Amino acid sequence: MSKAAKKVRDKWRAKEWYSVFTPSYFGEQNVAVIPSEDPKKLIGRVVETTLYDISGDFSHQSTKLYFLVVLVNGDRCETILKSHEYSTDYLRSLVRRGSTRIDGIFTASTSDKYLTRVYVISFSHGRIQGSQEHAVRQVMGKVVAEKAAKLTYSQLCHEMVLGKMGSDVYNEAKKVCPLRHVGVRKSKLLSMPLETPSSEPGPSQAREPMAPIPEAS
Amino acid sequence: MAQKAATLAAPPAAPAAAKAVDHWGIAHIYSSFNNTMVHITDLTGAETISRSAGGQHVKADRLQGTPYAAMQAAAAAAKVAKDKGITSLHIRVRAPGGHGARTPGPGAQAAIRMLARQGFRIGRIEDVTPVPHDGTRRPGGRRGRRV
Repeated sequence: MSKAAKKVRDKWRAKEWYSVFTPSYFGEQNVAVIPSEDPKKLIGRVVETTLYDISGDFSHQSTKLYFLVVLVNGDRCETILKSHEYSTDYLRSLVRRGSTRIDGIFTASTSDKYLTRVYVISFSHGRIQGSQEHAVRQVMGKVVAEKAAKLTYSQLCHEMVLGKMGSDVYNEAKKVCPLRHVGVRKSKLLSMPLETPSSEPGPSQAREPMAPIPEAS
Repeated sequence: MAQKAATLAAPPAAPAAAKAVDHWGIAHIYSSFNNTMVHITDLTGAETISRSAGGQHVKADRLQGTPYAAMQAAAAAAKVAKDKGITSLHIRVRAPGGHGARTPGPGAQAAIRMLARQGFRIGRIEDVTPVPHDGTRRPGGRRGRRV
């Protein structure tokens, strides 16, 4: 018994603390300190934060960001944005009886060959007709495809997370029917190009099949 | 189910970014009617820091899920976590979910309170009960469970 307890302790001592930094397009902030015995074991871990933690803006509290560790430099972990989503509370507060919820799920490839899945959502003021729904969904798809073709992954992340994409969809779709909320509810990184810009082909290649993990929460 | 406490939580933002001395962890509290488990991990959930359950602290099976057992479990887990240098915690409360109960059991409140009392800074408190997007049928049959 005591022997086992001792063993566990020693294992913990062997662990060191590593700082996790957000990617440059989210300000390279230190969002977490995590322990590990071996820096190799850090790769592939996912840290959850809210956008509020990064921007300090209270209105951003309901956006969750998931950062995936892709590279370890000394005690510094570099990450990419793996996914983001609305918090459950916020999404539930938006859904209301008597108004239509329009979901659109699109897969888009960015100009630097990152394959992402974008979940756009919008809510109308009252009930709308099926044809209007279809029209709104079509607008969503068009905007997402246009943006993805033009932007790099980091720019796309910014637009999705900070609501730029939502407002662009809104401006187009409000011609179809009045809407009370448009936004990107969730996004996922499905796969990334083999050589990542962060220039460590080994681990990122090994990680490739792991990219399509279904929504870790 | 919608945990309003999430907005009530203390803002962890600025200090966490400023000083790396602050070691955050996540306390996963699984609270069913029959037991309460407290599992403290690092922020990724990959490293276990400490864990304990209500059943480890009481003799009778029927007491496993009681608030008292939950308090003991939380205190035990917290003690180890503190020794290992964790100073602040996010909390994720979970009920059985699925086709089972969606509301956390009697031990959840007690466990959260105990963690707060141990001197941890508490960040977000979240409900992470798994909710099916329509899964399997709840057991018991059409006429319910007949005892």
